[in-house]
Amino acid sequence: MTRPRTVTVDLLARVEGEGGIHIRMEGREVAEARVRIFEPPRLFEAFLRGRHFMEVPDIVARICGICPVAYQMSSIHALEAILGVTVHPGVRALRRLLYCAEWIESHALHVYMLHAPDFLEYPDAIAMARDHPGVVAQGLELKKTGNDLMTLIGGREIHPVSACVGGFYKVPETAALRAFAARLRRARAIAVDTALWARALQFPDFDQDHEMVALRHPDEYPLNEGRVVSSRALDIAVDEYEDHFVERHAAWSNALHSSVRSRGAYVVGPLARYNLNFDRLGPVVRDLARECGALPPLTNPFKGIVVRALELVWACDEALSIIAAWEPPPEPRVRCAPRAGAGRACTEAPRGILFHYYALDDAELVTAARIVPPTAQNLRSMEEDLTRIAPRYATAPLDELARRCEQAVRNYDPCISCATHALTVTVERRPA
Amino acid sequence: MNRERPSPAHPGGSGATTATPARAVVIGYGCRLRSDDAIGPLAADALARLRLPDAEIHAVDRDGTVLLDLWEGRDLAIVIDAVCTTGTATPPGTLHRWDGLALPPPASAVFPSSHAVGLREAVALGAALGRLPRRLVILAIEARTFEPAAAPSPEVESALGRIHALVLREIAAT
Repeated sequence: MTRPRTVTVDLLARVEGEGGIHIRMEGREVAEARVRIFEPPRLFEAFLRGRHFMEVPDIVARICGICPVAYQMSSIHALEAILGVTVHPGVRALRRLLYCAEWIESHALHVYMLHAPDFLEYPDAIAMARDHPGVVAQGLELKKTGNDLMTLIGGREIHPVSACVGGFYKVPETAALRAFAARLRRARAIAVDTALWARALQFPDFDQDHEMVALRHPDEYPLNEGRVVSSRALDIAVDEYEDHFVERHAAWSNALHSSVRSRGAYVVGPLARYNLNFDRLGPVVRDLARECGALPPLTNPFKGIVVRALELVWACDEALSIIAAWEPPPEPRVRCAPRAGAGRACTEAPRGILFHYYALDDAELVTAARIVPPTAQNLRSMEEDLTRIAPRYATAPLDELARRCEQAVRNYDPCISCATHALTVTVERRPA
Repeated sequence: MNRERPSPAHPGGSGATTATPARAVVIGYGCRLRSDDAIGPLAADALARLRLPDAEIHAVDRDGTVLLDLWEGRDLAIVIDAVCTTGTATPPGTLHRWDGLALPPPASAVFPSSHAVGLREAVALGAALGRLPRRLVILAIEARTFEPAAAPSPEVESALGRIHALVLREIAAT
């Protein structure tokens, strides 16, 4: 008989926010696998009520220091849908450029500082840097490029302040944007190296049959716009989101769990976006993907690190294209006439689709708000992955089992601070 | 040490835009919206107004990896930060002077979050990458609170004059 054992790892590191993993094993089987979210509720949706709509983008940006642009973009698009605003193509391009900056910053952080130590078997990026200084230095340089592009457009590298409903409070100097292209070309070269480096990592054989959900745009790799599509033939307008996705409370989580109505768990984020939009990446990135042996469909969540690297290359290319074609808009923003109503938007945060809903009254004040962040949408899939990965290490030392479970969660780059609007690991082993 | 979400970096000082980096850099580290954690940036603001020759002044309130870019290759880096020392009843406003290159290494569970690359982790990362200044002085001010607030508590703010004098002494000794 197997002696029952319990393992507690006090902190699941290298994710944003406070949470944990609890796994109860009976023999080789997982009886229960939970991603526990104990970061306190942050109540943003409640305290948005009564605020003027122009305040919303800067308030929701504070939900996350890693993906503030995603919150700004989803809120701005939802509010502009209410107000009937159409922005100048230059504003649209600048929003995409700002989003590229966030993707570069966020993906570089995750690939190098948060996820790579798992694959190279280091406890953290500092320990990894002692043996692989060049790798970590590349990651820092990529991240700094994203940070500096964010500062150039948004005024500062975290919680930028330039984007607003109707456009931007201020657009960057054209000369400064053009000058930044050299930095992006250097970043692109690093990103290509990153993809080629990531393909050589060792991935467990762990293909999963998750439903994958992402935005899809007629012409572009998705950032700000598109229909919500899935690998199981879902194809809906963003306005229909609430008809097809539901949230429920789980007692062990301060973040709600999302499901596809009548089906269940699903995955958002780089893997879903990539599989559903590979044809929108452009021939150069597609060729690189082929070279990396990463043609879709990719169904192994551990290979998200390769996809993030490929998306880094795409984001650098997209940013360079936008800068090359940049024509500043005649006015940074259009004034918005007040209009009561409700609006919805989804944009592609680095971690996946981010849904916002707002209702405004005649006084231009928010009467209702709803935010569904990507991490909440991935929680059920994380738990399913834990259920399937843990048995493989059932007889391994407990620290090895815990480490593999942490890695499986980090595949999703979870942002618990966003989701509460993870992590301590506890593993219980009982006889079968 | 700073573990708060940052507000924007704030370059200042006489040497911030020169082509050749100054030999010394002074970095006020902390979040301006977290009461006593603002003491570092406030000290940097005050020092920037002096336009010190041969010293750059920066306020940094975010990701500690930024520190590597600021202090790499310098003869002297001074980091001003709010701290809560444990195990003693040190009064708020007490000023500690530490040799940053002799800091004990961080515990193994560093990088607990993607937002919390703090000063000690930045020193360890700099050591691993060979990106440290030749001399690193940490002026640590004992804090009373890090609760959200726009101003530090009076006893912490009263340390500004002492910080100022110590910074000038350290720069003069370079």
